Formats: sequence, C-alpha cells, structure tokens
Amino acid sequence: MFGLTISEWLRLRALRRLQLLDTPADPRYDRITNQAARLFRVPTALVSLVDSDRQWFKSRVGLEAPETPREISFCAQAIKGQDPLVILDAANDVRFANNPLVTGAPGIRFYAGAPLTSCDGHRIGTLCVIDDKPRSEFTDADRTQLVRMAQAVMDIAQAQYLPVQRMKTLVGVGLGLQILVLSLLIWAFGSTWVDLLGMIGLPVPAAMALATAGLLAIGLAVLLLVLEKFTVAAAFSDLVPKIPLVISGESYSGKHADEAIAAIDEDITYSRSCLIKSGITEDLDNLPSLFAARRKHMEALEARATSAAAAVSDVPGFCDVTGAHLRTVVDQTENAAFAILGQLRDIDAHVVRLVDFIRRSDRESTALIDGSGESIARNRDCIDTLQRYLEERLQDAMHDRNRFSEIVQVADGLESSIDAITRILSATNMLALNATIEATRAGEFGHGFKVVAAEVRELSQQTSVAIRHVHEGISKMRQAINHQINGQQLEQKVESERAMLTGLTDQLVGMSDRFHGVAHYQRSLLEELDRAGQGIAEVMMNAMGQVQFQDIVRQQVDSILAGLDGLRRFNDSLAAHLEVGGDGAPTDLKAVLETMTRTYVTEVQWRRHEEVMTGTMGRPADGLPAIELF
Amino acid sequence: MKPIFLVDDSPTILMSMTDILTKAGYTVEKAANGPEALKKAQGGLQPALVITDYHMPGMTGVELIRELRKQAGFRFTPILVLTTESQQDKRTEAKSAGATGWLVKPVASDQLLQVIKQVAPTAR
Repeated sequence: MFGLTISEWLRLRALRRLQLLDTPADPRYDRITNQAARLFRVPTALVSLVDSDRQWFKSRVGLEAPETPREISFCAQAIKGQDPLVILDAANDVRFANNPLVTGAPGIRFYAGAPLTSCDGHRIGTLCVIDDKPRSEFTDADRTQLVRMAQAVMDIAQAQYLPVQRMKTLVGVGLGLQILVLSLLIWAFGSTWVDLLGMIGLPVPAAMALATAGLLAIGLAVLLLVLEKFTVAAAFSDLVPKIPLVISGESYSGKHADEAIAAIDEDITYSRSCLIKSGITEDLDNLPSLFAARRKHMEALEARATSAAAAVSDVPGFCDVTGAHLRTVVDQTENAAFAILGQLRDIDAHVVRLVDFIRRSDRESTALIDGSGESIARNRDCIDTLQRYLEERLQDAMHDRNRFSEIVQVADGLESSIDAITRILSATNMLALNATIEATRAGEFGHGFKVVAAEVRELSQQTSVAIRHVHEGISKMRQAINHQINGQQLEQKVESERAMLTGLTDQLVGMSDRFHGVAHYQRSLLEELDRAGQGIAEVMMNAMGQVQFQDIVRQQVDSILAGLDGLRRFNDSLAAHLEVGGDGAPTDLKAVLETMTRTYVTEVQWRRHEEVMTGTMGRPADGLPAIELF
Repeated sequence: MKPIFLVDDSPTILMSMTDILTKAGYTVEKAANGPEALKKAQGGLQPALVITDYHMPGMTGVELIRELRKQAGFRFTPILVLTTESQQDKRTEAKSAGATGWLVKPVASDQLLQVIKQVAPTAR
C-alpha cells in the first residue's frame, strides 16, 4: 500500500476509525436500505463502504456479494463529489457503459448514490439504490431524500463510535474508583478532618459534606481530564490504520503521519490562498492542478527573483553614473558661474570706461559750446571789419575816380594843345618846304637858308613824331583811366563783395546756430548714455547677485546625491534580501527618504517633496521673510 | 577702512559677493570655512561686518558665530547669515548664537547693500 494520496489516506483513516468494515450485519442499517429500496422502488439498495481496494457492503438489499472490486465500483465514483451521483441509464453513460457490472451481472442500468460523509468531512462510502432498468428521472426531491437517508446512516455509524463508548466506560469505572478511594480516605482521616473544619467554625456534618463534595468534584474533574487525554488518545492510536503514509519517498506512521498530514494540510491551505491572492485562476481544489499551479507560480517567482536580483545589481552602477552626472552639473554650473562673473567684470570695466568717456565728452562739449560763442562773436567782428574796409575802399575808389576824371580833363586839354602843336608843326613843315623852294631859287645866296630850312623841316618832322607819341600816350592813359574810373563797374563790384560778405555772415550765424543745436543734442545724448551706463551697472550688480543660484543648485544637488546614497544602501540591502539564503529585510525606503529630507535646505525642496508625497514631513513654516534682522 | 568679512565655502558666492561689495565701494576679506575665518579673526582682522554661510564643512555658520562672539573684538560686530537654509529652528539657533540677521539666498544685490548700510554704516 504505497503511494496513497493524502486525501485518500485521511479518508481511509476516517473509514477505519468507524470500525464498520467486515463487521456483522446490523439491523439498523438494514432498515434504512430496505426503506430506500421501497421508497425508490428499486430491487437493490446498499450501504457501501469504499475501502482502499474494494467496496464492502455493511448492509445490502437485493445483492448477494458482500464486496466488489473498487475499480469497477459506481460508489467509488460517487464519493468523488459532494452531491449524489445519479446515472439514469448506465448503458448510455460513457463512464459506465463498459463497466462489467453494467455489461454483465447484475446488469446495472440505474444508479443513485449519496456519499456517506463523516463528521470530519471524509466521504467513506455511499448509500446507493440500483436498478437493472433505466430510469427517466430522479427528481431533486428524490435526491434530497437519498441524502437524508445517507445522513441517517452516518448518524448511526458515528453514534456507536467505539472510542467514545470506551471512554464513557472508562470514565464510569474511574468515577467508581474515585468514590471508593475518597470514602476510604474520609473513613481513615475522618476525625482529623472534622476537627480541622470545626476549628474554622463550620458545623461539622455540613463541613464534612461540603469538603467531601468539593474534593469529589475536584478529583472527578482531574480524573475526567486525565481520562480524556490518555484514554481517548489510546483509543485513537489503536484505531489509526497501520498503513504507512509515504510522502516524497519518506514513510510516516502514527503520530508522525498526523504531524506530516497537518503540515501538508496547512501548506496546501496556505498555497491555495497564496495562489488565489496571486490571481491564479486554475482549479485549485484538485491537488495535482494545485501543485502544478504552485510549481509554475514558484518557478515564475524564482525567475522573477533572479531577474530582479540581476536588475538590482545594475543599480549601484546607475547610482554612480547619475551621481557623476550630478557632480558634473555642479562643476559645470560652477564654471559657468565663474565665466558669467568674469564676463560681468569685463562688461563692468567696459561700462566704467564708457561712462568715463561719456562724462569727459560731456565736459568737452560744454567747453566747446561755451567756446563757440566767442569764436562766432570774433567771426562777426571780422566780418564787420571787412565791411568797413570795403566801404573805405569804395570811398577811396570814388576819390580816385574823381581824381582820374580831373587827369582826363587835363589830358583832354593837352590833346587840344597837341592838335595846336601838330597844326603848328604842319605849318612849320610847309614853311620849311616853301623856304627850301625859295632858297633854291635864290641860288647861291639861298644855299645857307636852304640848309636852315631843311633843318627846320627835319626838326618839325621829328617834333611831329614826338607829338604823335605823346598823343598816343595820352590816349592810352585816358583809355586806361576811363576804364578804371567807370563808376558803374566799381559800384557793382563793391555791391557784389558786400553781398558776398553778408552771405558769409549769414552762413556763419547759421553755422553757429547749427553748431549750438548739435552741441545740445550731443549733450542730451551723453546724458542719456550716462543714465543707460548707470542702468547697465545696476543690472550687472543684480546679475552678480543672481550668480547665487549656483550655490543653491549645488546644495540641492547635494541633497539628491544624499538620496542616491540612500537608494544605493537600500539597493544593497534589497540585493542581499533577494539572494537565496540571504537574510534580513530590505532597508525601509521611507527612512531613506526621511534621511534625504534632513539634507533639505531650501523651502522649494520641501514644497516639491510634499507635492510628490502626500502629507507633511516636519517641513519648515511657510512664508518666513527672506531677510530678517534680529 | 573697515572691511566686510565674507565666509562661504562656495567659491561662486565669494566671487560674486566680492564683486558686488567692491563695486559698491567696500573692501572685502574672505574665508572659505569656519576654521579659516576664526584664524583670520584671531590674527587681528577687525571687520565692520561679517557675512557667513550656514552650511559649511567643518563648522556651521552658527558655530562660527558662537566662537567669534567669544572674542572681545567681535562682541559687537554685526554678523549676517547668508544661506539657502529656510528652516525656522536654524534661524532661532542663529539668533540665540548672536547673529544680527538672516538672509535667504538668493538676495538681490540692492537689498543686500541696503541691509549692509543699515547694520554696518562704518564699513568701507
């Protein structure tokens, strides 16, 4: 008898405890089978007990055989379920059509069997009704009736449960012995006892009765307890089947079998609840499928644990890389902050130079504006002087013209004198010619005169030439003077020069005005630039202040790094926990988070924390002033 | 010429504060942590104002204040704590240690200068 399933082993034990197998017929059971045969109008009714390899009939109506092999038993099938097994026509039922009990004697066609269920839930056999003719129906009422009758069979079986009877007998014997012993004791020490009770003021007979009753009750209780414990246990130990329970190649018997069964039972219950919790939907009432499901589940869990362990082994590396990145961020922001500060310094230097230049330019332009007034005044003086000079020159020219007119008049006078001289010279020449002619007629005597006449003529001719030269000279001189003293031309020239000077003056004044305008514009421009320069300086000052962000970032990153360290510690403990044979529970991640909060410095860190995690964690009070003087 | 004494482990803070204060016409002395600051203080430094960080390696700003207050020359020197720390209990701790004021970073430059003018009018 090896390889019994636990449930079967337990079932057999429950059956054998009842001690019904191979016992003589009992009219109480026979009444029930007879009643069933009548009630359901069948030839055969049985109280069938399903043993390990047979079914044995405690009571049978309409059947000769006391037992049949279990393999072909209908009842062995019926005890598999809680409800009655009803086969209306076995010939048409795939499960039983080929059963020898169907194909041969007794030619079963109709079968209805209700399981006999023990008080601890084991189905030890059936109360069944059998017919060799098929039935068309077996109503619910019939089923109920059959179940009730099966219960009646079990009531009888359990009422005569031998250990209980035996215990009752033993308790009765024990009680008799107790009373006997106590009576002897009271008889032997009666007087002493009564004296003692008398000393505490109880009336002797009453006290004696009370004491005896008390002692009796206590003794009885103790005895009952002892009897219950040992006698019942002894009774049961006798009844436990001698079949060894073999589990996983290991034999268990007696108490050890009970312990093993209890452990297995507990394990099965636990496994089932675990599997249900894990959402396993397979049939878990059936042990093989339960174990199969459990194995699958365990393998899946193991695989998951292995992959989880592999996964967590990557976390330290991840933490290292993340930490390194964060530290790089800090370094880079620090470098950037330095660069920004350096550039701000450069900008500041430029701005300072610019502002200096602007202020210097402002001073210079002021000086220029002041100086330009003087130079314009000087220019005006110059122009006035020029105008006066021009007027004087005009006056001089007028004077000159008058003087030249007088000279021309004198020259005109000389012209008439030259005409007179020319006429005289012409007459002299004529005279000399005539004198020569006369001298020639006079001959010798006129010879000297002729010479004189020739000389006179020569002189006259030379004088005529000289006079012509003089005349030409005077004419040229007059022409030149006339040209020079032409009044209209001179006045025009003077006027044009005067206009030119006025234009120059106007231009100078315009230029001066424009220069003033430009200078004022430049000044306001410089003032604006100066203001802008100061504005830039202020902005820059603030920008320098804003570089504090880097320090804030650094401290926030430090917090994150602390968190990463905590995460790493958590991971280490988790990895140890996941390892097969690893001990200890993983670190509490909440504690890690709390450790991180202790590194919080800014209010924004607390705020973010609370946004993500609900509830407060001892955060600082809101709304504290950024600047507080104590 | 009484300088302003800056104590902060952050080089960027030291640099930016120095720039701001120098630009505003102050002279500046610096230390990167509490022990260094104490050494300078014991070496005869007499600032018109101390501005210290709270979280620093080796010694917190408040511990530094306690040490400084033990020195005769620093008994009445105004000391400001310039920090990212926002918790009330730290402020209270600083106040009882003898701090003059508490400034949470980032502080705008003009506000900082205003506070300095208020608590240390003799600083140059």
